[in-house]
Amino acid sequence: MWSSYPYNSDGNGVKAKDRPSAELMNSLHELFENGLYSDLTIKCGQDEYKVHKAIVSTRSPFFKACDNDFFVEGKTGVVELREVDPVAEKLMVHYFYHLDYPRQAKPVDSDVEDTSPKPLAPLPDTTSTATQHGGDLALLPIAARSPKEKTKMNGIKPKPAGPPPCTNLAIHARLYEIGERYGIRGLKDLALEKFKSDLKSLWEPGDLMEAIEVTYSPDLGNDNDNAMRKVIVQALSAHRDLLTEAPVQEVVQKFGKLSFDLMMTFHKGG
Amino acid sequence: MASRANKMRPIRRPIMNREASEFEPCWILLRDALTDIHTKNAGRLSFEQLYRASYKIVLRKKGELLYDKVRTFEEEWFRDHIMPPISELITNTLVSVALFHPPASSMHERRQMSEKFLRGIRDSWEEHNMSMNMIADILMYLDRAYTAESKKPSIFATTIGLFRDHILRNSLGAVAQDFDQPYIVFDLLTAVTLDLINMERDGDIIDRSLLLKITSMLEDLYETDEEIDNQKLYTTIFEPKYIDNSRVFYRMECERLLRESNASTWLRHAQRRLNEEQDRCDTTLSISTADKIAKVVETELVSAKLDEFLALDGTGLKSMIDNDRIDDLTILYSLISRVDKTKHVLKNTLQTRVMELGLEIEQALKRTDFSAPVTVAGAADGDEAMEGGDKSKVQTLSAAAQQTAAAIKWVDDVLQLKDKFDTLWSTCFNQDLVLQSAVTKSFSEFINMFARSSEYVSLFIDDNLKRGIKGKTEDEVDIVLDKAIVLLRYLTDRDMFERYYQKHLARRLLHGKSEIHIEKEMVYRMKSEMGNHFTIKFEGMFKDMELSRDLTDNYRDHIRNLGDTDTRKVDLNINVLTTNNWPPEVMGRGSSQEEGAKMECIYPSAIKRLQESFFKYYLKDRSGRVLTWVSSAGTADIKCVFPKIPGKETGPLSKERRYELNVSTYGMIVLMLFNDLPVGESLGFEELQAKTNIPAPDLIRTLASLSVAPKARVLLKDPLTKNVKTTDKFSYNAQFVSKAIKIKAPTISNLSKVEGDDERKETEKKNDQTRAHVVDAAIVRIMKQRKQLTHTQLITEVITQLANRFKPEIPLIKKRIEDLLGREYLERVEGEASSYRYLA
Repeated sequence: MWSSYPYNSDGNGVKAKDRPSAELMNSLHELFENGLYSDLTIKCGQDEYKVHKAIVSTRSPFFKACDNDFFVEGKTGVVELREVDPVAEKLMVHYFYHLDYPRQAKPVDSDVEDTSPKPLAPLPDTTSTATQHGGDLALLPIAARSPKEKTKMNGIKPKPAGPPPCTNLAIHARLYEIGERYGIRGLKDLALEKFKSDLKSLWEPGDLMEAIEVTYSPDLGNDNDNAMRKVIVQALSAHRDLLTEAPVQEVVQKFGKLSFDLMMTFHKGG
Repeated sequence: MASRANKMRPIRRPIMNREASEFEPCWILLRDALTDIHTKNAGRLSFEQLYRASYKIVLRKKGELLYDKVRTFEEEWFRDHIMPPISELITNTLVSVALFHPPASSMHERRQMSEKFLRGIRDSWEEHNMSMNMIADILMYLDRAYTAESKKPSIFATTIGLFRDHILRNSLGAVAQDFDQPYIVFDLLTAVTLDLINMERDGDIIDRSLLLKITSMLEDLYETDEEIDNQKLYTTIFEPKYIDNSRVFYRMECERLLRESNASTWLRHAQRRLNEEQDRCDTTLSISTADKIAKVVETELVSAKLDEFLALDGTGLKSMIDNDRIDDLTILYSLISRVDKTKHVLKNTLQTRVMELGLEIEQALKRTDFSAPVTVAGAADGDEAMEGGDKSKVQTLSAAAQQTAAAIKWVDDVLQLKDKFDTLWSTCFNQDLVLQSAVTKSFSEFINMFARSSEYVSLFIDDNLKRGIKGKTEDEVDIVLDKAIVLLRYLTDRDMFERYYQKHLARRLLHGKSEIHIEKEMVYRMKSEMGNHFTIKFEGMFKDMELSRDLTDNYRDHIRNLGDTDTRKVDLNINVLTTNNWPPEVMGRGSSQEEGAKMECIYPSAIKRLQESFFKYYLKDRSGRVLTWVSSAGTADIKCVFPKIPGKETGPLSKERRYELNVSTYGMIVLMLFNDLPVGESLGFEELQAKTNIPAPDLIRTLASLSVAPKARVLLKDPLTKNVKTTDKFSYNAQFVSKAIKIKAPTISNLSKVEGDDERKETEKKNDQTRAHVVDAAIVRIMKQRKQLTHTQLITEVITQLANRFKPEIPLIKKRIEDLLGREYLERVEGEASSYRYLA
């Protein structure tokens, strides 16, 4: 059942010296898949994940503190996460067991309905964002994507033809936020790295706008945590032509902090 | 975005409003939760919800507000709910009892009161601590994002610190107004805790887990909210007081012990206290105190009066050593090792004791009367047995035998002393190397202070190889040999020992007194202990003996083949000895016998023929060698026939008697003369000397052995005195009777016996001469190699080179250098003070 998974235990394509770690990764994957020995449930909206305190609580002080009989969570063994994007939540759990999370396919409807510069349309409110990604998860290996598809930065929009673009900047931003919220440093670093690397190879402006929305929104963005914002401001300052686009201008206007960050960047000669 | 028209104010304001309006519900949620936590009203709280609320507040940049509100809330809660019950616990009685120990208070009462107070503190602490932990969990994000950023103490540190600021550092309140000192609750807490610990030290049983809770609390609290690592209240306040208190306690205890008790009790007590304190740190206080409190016990209870205790009569160190108090010494060693790495006191006392006991052995020797035969076992029983011993069984020993007995006793005593200290060393002193070398040094010192040690050690070996070894198992032999080697190690003048051993060994070999394989084993051990050069001569002696045995056999074959028909058949058993390997005394080269050695004594013709025959045989294959007969060293078995005495019809005299008489070579020569003497005639001493050419002293001894000792009195002496004089006359004793067929004529002045004072001086003189040569050789060797050296360097090198053989005295070396300068082996280097150069 996991033969499609890269951590193959049959030994094919795994070097002997890598086998021990492959074995561990495989067993974690198995625990993730079938919830064996699970002693904690994480709920998020309709989704439920059977997880393990040994894996989850040791990585996040939040989950560790949950495990206290004084609170509902400790008594019932169910941690219900609210006001969290279910996709990000799902990917967080995935990360706990795989030290990575897979690339998400863009919801089909957003691309099919409109071929115009849709990506730059005004972004939906954060509350609705949460439901937007409720669709299927596709496991798309990053390596499958060829660097040729790299979008040129000088305003040329990616062609809608072919497979729908899987630009994941907003997803990374959400995972970055969730890592900060629950104190999972590894996830934060991973998401930031993925964000940076996608900016070099695969993105579209609409997705970037959504990422800005996540990062600068007062509900999610965090003034105490600047790493992600820095990357975004650098991206905008590297592609100033984007600032001529109305949707972009609107976003910049919306977040005074973003305007300020941009101004300071330009002021410093960026 | 309705604010688009007004550009200056637009975006922020609505957000601000939203933030403000959002804070209040979140805070109310959190505040209720805090109350629930304090009142233990669990069940309805969702951690996720509370966490989210605080997270939101922090995102809205209201962290500071939340921080302050939580702090205020906790301070109020603390004031209203935690402090009142604690204040109630602090009663007048408790304070006065704990801080001033009024004599009226019974220990039981005190303990009850103290424990009640501590229990109150513990309960409220545990509750507070638990609540604060939970609250800190809820406000985790506040700590992470806001507190850390603003460099404030964490929520937990701030709220847990309330306990320190509002309880421990609170004054004793109304109760304390009567005292002139501003006591705080912490003082009370410490006093009560220390009082309980002292009660436990005095044998009371206290609630250890309660104390552990209290000390853990002090370990969890810091001086300030910054929680600097080494600023725990336990470390800053409690521990120093505990250490001071313990110091006073143990100082008093130690003084009491010294007054009322003895060293043995003290040792056990100190050890027990050390264990107790370690245990106390494990179970009641903190591991971090273990080393410090151990130090206090070590200083106050062990080091402080160490010398006084060790000097105590009857139980002190001297008595421990003398009475082999193994347990005491074991404890003492472990304690001293803790307080003094050099183990100075122990080392010195051991050394002194070894010296004293060693010298006592020598004194005992002088006091002991060896005229009574003393078995080795008797000697081992020590002085008392010797002095009080039964002297009535008189079979007076000869002076020489007495000396041997003295030597054996001395060695046995020394070995016994060594055994004693070895046992102490291995069972009590953990085989401590420092102590071992110290004790060894002292042994070496007293052994070498005793002038006859070299001789006595050799005598001891001689005695054991001669008498002792036969009939002993291999293991027993092993032990004896080992003991001998042990003693040998201590000797510094090994050349002296070598000289004696050579002499004694020669005697044993020539007289077949010992078993050759054991002799070889002994020499083999010496070799591995002292090096090859030490045993060259001994091995040469063994070789001579072996070659001689073959030679004798071959010579006999040779004679048989010749068909020599000598009517008076003489069987020759010959030992050919290489001059250098054997001691000069045996070789007839002793300085005292120099005169005699030049004179060949006159052998009877039968013997002379035999000698010539052997010479011829020997030199046939070995031309160029010089063979000298050593007449003083040989023995002869003589078959004597005493004819029937006419007129005697009964008794042994009525028959012809045949005896086999074993005499020295001189004895044989003398007796042969009487063969040719007509019955009834006698020979005077001078006449005998003229006919034999035997040196006078030897002749006296020979005649004494044949005419004085009753068991071999084959000659009659006139007059019948005990001593042989040069005017005496001797005649054949026709009436000689003996129960034994084989008779050994007693040897007077056995070489193997202990030397008299004169002889020893002689030996030392000879030894000094040899040393002079050895030193000469060493100097030349060194200078040949180094070409040029200063005086000091040369002296040092010589001493180093010779250390294994003897310790040369500086004047001797100087003298030898002078001598070598004179003989132009060396020259002084011009211009350089006291430097020498080697002259090729």
